[in-house]
Amino acid sequence: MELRPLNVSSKSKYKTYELFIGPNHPGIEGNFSYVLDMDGHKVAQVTPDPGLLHRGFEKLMERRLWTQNLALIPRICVPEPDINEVAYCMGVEHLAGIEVPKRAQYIRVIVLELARMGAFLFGFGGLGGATGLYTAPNWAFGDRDYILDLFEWLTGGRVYHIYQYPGGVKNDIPEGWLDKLSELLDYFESRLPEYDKLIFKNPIIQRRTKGVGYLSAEDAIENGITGPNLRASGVKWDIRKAQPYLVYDELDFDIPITGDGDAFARALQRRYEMAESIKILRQCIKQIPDGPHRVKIPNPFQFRVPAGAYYSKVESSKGEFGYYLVSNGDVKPYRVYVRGPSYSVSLFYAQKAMVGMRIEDVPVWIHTMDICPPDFDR
Amino acid sequence: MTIDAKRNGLVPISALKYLFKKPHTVRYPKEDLEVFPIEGNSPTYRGFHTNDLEKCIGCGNCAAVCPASAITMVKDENVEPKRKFAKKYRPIIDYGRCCFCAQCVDICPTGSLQMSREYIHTFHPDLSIAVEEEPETVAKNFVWRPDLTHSDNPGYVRLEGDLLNKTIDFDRTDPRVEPANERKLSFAKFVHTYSREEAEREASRCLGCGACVEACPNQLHIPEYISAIAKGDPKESLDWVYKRNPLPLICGEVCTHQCEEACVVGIQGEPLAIRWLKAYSASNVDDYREALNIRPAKSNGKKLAAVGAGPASLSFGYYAKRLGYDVTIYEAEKKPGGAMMWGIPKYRLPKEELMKDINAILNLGIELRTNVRIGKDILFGELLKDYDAVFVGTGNSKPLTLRIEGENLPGVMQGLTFMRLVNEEKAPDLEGKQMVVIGGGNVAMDVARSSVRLGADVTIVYRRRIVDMPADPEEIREAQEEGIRVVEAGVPLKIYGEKSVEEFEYAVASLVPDPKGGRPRPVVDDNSPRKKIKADYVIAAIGQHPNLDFLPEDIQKKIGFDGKRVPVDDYGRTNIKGLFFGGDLSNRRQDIISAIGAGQRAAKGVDLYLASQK
Repeated sequence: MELRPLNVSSKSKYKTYELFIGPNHPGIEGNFSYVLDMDGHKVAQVTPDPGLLHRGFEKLMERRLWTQNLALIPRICVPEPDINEVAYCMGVEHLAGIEVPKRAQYIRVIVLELARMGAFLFGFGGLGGATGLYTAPNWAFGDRDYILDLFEWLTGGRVYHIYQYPGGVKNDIPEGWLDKLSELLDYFESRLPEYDKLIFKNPIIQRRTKGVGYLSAEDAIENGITGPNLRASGVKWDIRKAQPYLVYDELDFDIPITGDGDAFARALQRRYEMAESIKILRQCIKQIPDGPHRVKIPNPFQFRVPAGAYYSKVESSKGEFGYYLVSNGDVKPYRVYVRGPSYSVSLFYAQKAMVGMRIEDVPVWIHTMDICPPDFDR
Repeated sequence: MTIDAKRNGLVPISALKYLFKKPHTVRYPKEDLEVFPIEGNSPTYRGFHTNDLEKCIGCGNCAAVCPASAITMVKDENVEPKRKFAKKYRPIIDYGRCCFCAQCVDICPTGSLQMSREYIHTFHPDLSIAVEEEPETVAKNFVWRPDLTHSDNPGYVRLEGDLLNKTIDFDRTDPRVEPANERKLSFAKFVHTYSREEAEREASRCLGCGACVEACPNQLHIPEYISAIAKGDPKESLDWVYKRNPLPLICGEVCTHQCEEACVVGIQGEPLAIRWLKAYSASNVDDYREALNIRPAKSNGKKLAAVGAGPASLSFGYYAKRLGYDVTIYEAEKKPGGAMMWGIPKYRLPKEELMKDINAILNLGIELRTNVRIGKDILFGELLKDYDAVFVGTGNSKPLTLRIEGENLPGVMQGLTFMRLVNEEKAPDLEGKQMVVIGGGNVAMDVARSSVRLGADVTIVYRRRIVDMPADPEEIREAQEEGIRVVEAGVPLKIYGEKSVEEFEYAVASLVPDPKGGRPRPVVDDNSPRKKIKADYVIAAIGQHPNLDFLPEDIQKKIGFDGKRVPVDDYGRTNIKGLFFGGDLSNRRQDIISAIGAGQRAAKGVDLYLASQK
């Protein structure tokens, strides 16, 4: 694309112009950017530029053994890598008819909820970055590190855990880990009111976010928006409740609904869901049964998944995250398709939603929509 | 909802109190995280690798499973592996590519490869080097061979007891076996061939590293044929076997399975049942020639003769026929098979399974002339004259004798003689008879277990310990299950009897350890205790030597036959042009698969020889 820094109009020198948001811009990760045609302060037209880094995960997966892919796929989503592992493993297990032990399912829920909390903390921090409140990212990233410490102990890695395996998880929970997790939950419960004071009661944040980027329930459904964004528009839909996977049907938790559909509601939605995650984790610590943490499957070189296709999905911090796996019965997948929740929001809905928005609201919109470019460059 | 999101301009200011609180950040290394039970990073941290170079067997599974292609296997002559079949290759890891996923650690069959808690690596590049050479310097400093000196701080490890967390399946799927008290009543085959499901489950434990291939005397394509079974294709599997073994069902039932000793899964768990898997693929194909589309090459007009229709000659005949030669096999007995026909009992190898393999070879157009004894019916010199090349694979047919007093009494027999009677169904009625079998090899086990099936009460007398026996460990175990007693350190002294055998006397030897670490030496002196046992039959199965009486003496001398073995080169060539030897009479290991290998190599040798004759 040819660069046209400014579009000079007849009336004023800067009446209309072209503006890049991203790459490497506050509020945007990866190689993704928006090209905004501006009319004064207002956005006239939005052209998303996916960046075309061509990371090629889906193609790479066809060249690797079923279990080798587990080292690759966490990299699809950096802030919340575990959803990839779990969704992929659940799909493989469904195709191969593997029954996962109860304990492994509980461990998976613990991992997923911890990862969700980590991703929400990223979200709080991001909102601070987009509005100029830099204390928020400092706090949130610091607290997220405590979660990473626990992951490091459980799996050996901080960010990319590579912990799930078809048939269960790679190793059992170490001794003392659950106590440490319990302590961490106490800490988070004491921290949440502080976050409320700093972010959600903050008049500046409220002014910057309330009424910004309104998304109606109809629009959300029309545009395939899922997760907290959909719930912030008042639609009660969560895969954990609607189509329970793992052991979510044995756990008692609510689906909070804010319902205002603006940026503040979306931020607040995540804050509520964080409290629910803590509730789920507390129940898991109490209910986790003894037993094996995995069942044996054939070794990686001989692990053949019976021919078939299956779409497995989990509720991620951004919405429905799914893997469509196609097997032809060989040791490698025939085709894998990854469905990320940001795909429809950032590439399609953004073209409609941002038109007419003021320039300073764009990062707020991007952040409260929790746009994650790896979802579509995969 | 639970929280009060009412606007309040003052509350954010309360965050100021954190100015005076303990900061999040850890001032490493003055401070340490208080999360883990040990200082530093987590106890299971996935840092740089360590590898116990002595324990490592160089199987290359880590390199094969690495999703980042970061591991290469590099040969090092200096490493001294402890295990018998270990290779001298060791993994070298490129940390520019490694993604620390630990899949290499999860699959390491010995547990030698681990990850440490070390994760800091710096190096000081020479600032004077040219910019163009920098990548090379960087590469050199990020590619290294992990060993134990690199770190003594283990992180992500898979210890020997940690079998569940490994990605290898260590538990063998055993075939159905008849219980000892039932199987000892009949000569029916007691190990059942795998069902399809069992075979696929067992085959799916194979890592495909090929450690077994080097242990196999004829280097069969083992990973390929096992992988084909796991895929559910016994025909493709048999195709792979047939490339280097035209007697698949026989080897599937009675091979000495060196491969299973080398199998890397067996280091921490149970090795793959490679032998039973071969039997599965062979018994699931009815007509080998039809299924594998085996065709002899167009005849090139050259004629070859093979003496003795045992495994060596059959293998020689098969591979020579496929090269276009016309092969005639001469057999002194009325049926082909040699030791496989007359030596191996039916409960291990039913005769119809034996004939299935042999007929598949003979149907290729190989002429078999039974009841022709070379040296008597046809002189060996005539063979040499009439044929372009001659292969001799007559095996070991002269049994060793005990050389003790009383061994000429009726009731004393050699192992092979007895087995022949059993296989011809001419064995004496042994119901309730006392039987002593001398020896610790597979023939001794065959004799003892056949006798049990004929109703005898059997004692095996062996001059060393049970662990020193050359027989297959499972043969020994199964024999004991069938109620056979084993006397260790028993050296035969004398056989008593008026008209036939009545009593057997042996001395209990003291075992002198071998300073070189080999098997102990039994020593008998005047102080050794002597023992007598009642016996109606004494069978000596203490080995056998080749019988080359059919060869003229000058030929025997010229080829350098020393009474035990005929020296040959890799292709079975002797000092006489056009005369090839193979099988037990020239092999170091005396088993079927070695004989097959010798036959295959001799066919190649004949081809080379005749090509150079033109």
